[in-house]
Amino acid sequence: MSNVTGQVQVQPKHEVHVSTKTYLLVGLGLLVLMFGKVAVSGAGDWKLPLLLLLSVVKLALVAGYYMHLRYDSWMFSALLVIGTIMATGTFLAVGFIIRAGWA
Amino acid sequence: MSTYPAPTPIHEVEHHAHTATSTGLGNKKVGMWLFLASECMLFGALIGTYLIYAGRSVVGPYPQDLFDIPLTTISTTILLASSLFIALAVSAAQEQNQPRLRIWLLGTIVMGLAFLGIQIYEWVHFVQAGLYLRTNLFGTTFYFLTGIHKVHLTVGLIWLGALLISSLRGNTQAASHENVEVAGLYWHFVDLAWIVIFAVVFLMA
Repeated sequence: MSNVTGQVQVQPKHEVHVSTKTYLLVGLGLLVLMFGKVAVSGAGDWKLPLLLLLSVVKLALVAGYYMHLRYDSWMFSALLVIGTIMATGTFLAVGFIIRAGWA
Repeated sequence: MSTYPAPTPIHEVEHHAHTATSTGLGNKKVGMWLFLASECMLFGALIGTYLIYAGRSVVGPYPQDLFDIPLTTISTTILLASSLFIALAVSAAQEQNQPRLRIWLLGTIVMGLAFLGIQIYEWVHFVQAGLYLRTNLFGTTFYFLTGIHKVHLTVGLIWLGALLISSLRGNTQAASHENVEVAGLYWHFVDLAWIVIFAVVFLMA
């Protein structure tokens, strides 16, 4: 279907449906990961990489299943990736400004 | 005189049909994802500032003197449970099951309020221990980061409360699947931000 300007108009795709069982399993996984994070917080030299790894897995579970990125359009995933890249850039810029003594 | 069929009420049309878009994606959902992408930058800057100033406070109290990890773990569990509840609310809205939607929305709000209550309790405890916004670099960056997160959480609670009231009043258009899903995306983002804050601020201390 096209409008008066000739732009193609598309009906939004049918919404994805995730089962209650999947939601509960993801919730259980998040709970286990959270206690895993608490457990590794006293892991000495391995603390930082382990905490980062567990956090990334948790973020992926929430974004993938609860926010439906696993099933939804790739455009939403791209927006989240762009946001994360911008966040990392902002983090590095703030770090540079403070360490350079400009703030 | 010609007769015309009775027009379909506008709320029914909007409830059953989605507006066609050039991308095939709902405008509200795209708008929310764009907003969340920009929010990544905000929290990236706040968490970055906290990390860069971490360990640079010259006077106490310091994080290790104040943090109560078991209590924060409980509050994080509560927030994770609220994320599960809002996902189930979105599922109920998709099935147009308004009674179940109300239950899960109420559950999410209760969990959100419990999380907020524990956070405020922690703040009060920190203030009693002598940590104010201007006490040291830790106080400034900690209160600012967690305060911005609390503001986001409060906005989410108001939003979910409005959806619950709309559903209770029988306004199924306002509590439609798309609207609940967009509110759910926002709520999940608040949860995502806390997952990072919990690891970076509390567990790395």
